[in-house]
Amino acid sequence: MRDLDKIKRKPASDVAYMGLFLALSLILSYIESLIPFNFGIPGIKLGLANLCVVILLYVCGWREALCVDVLRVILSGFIFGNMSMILYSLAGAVLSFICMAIVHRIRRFSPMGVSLTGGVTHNIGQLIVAVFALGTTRIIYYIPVLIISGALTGALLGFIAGMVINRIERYTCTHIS
Amino acid sequence: MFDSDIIPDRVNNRRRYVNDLILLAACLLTALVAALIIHLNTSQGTYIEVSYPGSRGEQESVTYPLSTDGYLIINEISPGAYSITYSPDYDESVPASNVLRITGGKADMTEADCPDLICVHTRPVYSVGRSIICLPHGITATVIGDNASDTADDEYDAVTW
Repeated sequence: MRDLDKIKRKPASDVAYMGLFLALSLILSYIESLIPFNFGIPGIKLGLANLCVVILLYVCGWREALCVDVLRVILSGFIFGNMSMILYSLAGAVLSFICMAIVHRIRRFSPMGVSLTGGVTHNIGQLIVAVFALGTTRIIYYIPVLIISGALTGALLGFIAGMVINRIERYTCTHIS
Repeated sequence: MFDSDIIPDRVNNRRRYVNDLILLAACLLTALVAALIIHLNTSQGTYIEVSYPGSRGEQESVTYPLSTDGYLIINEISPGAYSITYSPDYDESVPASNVLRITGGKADMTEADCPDLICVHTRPVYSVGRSIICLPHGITATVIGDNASDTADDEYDAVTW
């Protein structure tokens, strides 16, 4: 049965989905930059673009999601930010992606759990880079706030991602049931 | 070969939501424990050390006690160089690069003319090691304890936030 799935798989549709979600994630990054969302702690954000990565993880697979994740960080860094921002975001994005892919593979969590993991580990990854970049461990003070904010925003976005996945998975060619 | 290519089966969805909630609770609990540990390890600072680019082209720093209320007014004297003055009052109509207000043992950046205003949005600081950073101006305000050695290991060579 698995072999049959592989044969029926249509890579072109995956590429189309990747392009679509990459474009969507850039728009979401832009929308996010318009929303004033400030808790008095630098580094906290909604992470709307992660929505695309979670959805892609479910509808296409981890390779496609990773590809879009890395590309979106680099592109949105060039468009809205600068080199140091790319570095921070990439560290957060790669760590969160690895953790999300693992949690997704375990298959004991819904998209909400996957996205929640992503939110928390994204913030932790950025904090680790900040510790090295600033050469100080003092900013570890931020960790409780970063975990809570990552968990809450991640869970919220995961809930939305779950709804989207339920609606679009029947159109995706990857899973023929 | 990769399980991730399969649709999650609906049968287990309820169980998955329970797992999600457990994960969420675990995260919040971890954060609370971390906050508690950090809270127990911090002490109220006694001084605020303000570091700024001085007129000689190098970083200068001044230290003020947090016990006396007042305002530290930072002005740009020449492009990229700043001076700092202490005043018990501050008239908001007078323009300043940055204004650091000290009240009740806390320091808060109340005004800045930089574009992003991250330092102004940063919450008031009062415990040892906490700092307010104004990146566009290169100004940092760090709370230090009784002995200055608390921050001796903290040399910023690049601040990128």
